[in-house]
Amino acid sequence: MNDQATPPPVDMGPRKVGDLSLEESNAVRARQAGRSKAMAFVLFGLCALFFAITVVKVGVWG
Amino acid sequence: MTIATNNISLPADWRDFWALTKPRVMSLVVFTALCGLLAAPGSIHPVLAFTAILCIATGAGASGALNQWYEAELDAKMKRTAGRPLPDGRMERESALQFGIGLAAFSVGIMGVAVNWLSAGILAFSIFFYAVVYTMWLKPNTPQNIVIGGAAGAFPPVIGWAAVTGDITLLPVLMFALIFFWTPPHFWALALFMKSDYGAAGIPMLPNVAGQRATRNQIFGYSFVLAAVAVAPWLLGMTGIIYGATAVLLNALFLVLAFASWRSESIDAADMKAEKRLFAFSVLYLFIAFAALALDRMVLA
Repeated sequence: MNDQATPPPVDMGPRKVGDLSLEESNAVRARQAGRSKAMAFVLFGLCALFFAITVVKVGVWG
Repeated sequence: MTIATNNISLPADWRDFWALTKPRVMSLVVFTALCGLLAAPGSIHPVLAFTAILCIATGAGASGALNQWYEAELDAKMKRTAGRPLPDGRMERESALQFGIGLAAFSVGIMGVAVNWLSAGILAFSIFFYAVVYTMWLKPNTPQNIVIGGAAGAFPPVIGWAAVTGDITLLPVLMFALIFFWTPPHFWALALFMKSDYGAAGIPMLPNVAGQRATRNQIFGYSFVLAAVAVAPWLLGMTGIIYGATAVLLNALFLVLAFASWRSESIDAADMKAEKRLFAFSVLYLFIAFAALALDRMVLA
């Protein structure tokens, strides 16, 4: 009955944020990526620091 | 967390958060705190020493962020500060406030738990003093703002000392006094050649309120008090000849430059070479004085 074939998927390119253009969307994502990396660096450093403080306080190495 | 830039909204960059902490001021704070820590008798585990310095640096960063949050509108009126993240529109004010409070809570909490609560208490008081007493109360209301407000910047060596010993004796009080009496000539030298900038923002700095002659007199007068405080640790036998000789030499130079500034009649900022020399030397002065103090105490120990 339905002789109309399903249209092939259209390549929309990278997903966009809201109503932003592709360039704007990329700028937002780059900024978010930078913040995420900075936050990851800080959190990793804090984990290492807290571990070291705990070891010192517990007195594992005197 | 977003701001309008051109036609799109960009989240604030992590570098803008870093700029909120006033990294250059932080470097001086870290250095004096480290010297206080090294000058203290006794020992502290390197991990805890690192934690103490990190907390002091973070506390200074919190003070800077809260200061910029409160002064965003004033900063927009001054050339020197107009490029900061808030006046430049790269970040929302609320983000700066949250960042500052978060850093303050983190620094005081970790200092208390990992090091000791005396140093954490002084750190908390120094953040409060800078953000509330100096920024909100003194700075917009009195030309003596930096005299009393200088106390906020004088706490780091005391905190460093307290982190090691858990108490406060005369030497950390003298280190506090050294920074306290160094602050007026340092900032007033800056205020002399930045007079128009402060005036545009309506901040009652001494040159704007009392005039340049009165400011130069005050700078010269405070330089003598500074010299007396600076040599006191040596005269009282708390340090050796390394610090004593350095302090005498540094203060002799400081007095010569303060005298040149006192004799100067320059009105235009571009001609104020003596004031600019005094300002530049004052930064070096503090670094060398504290380095000599720490070195001397380490040699004595």
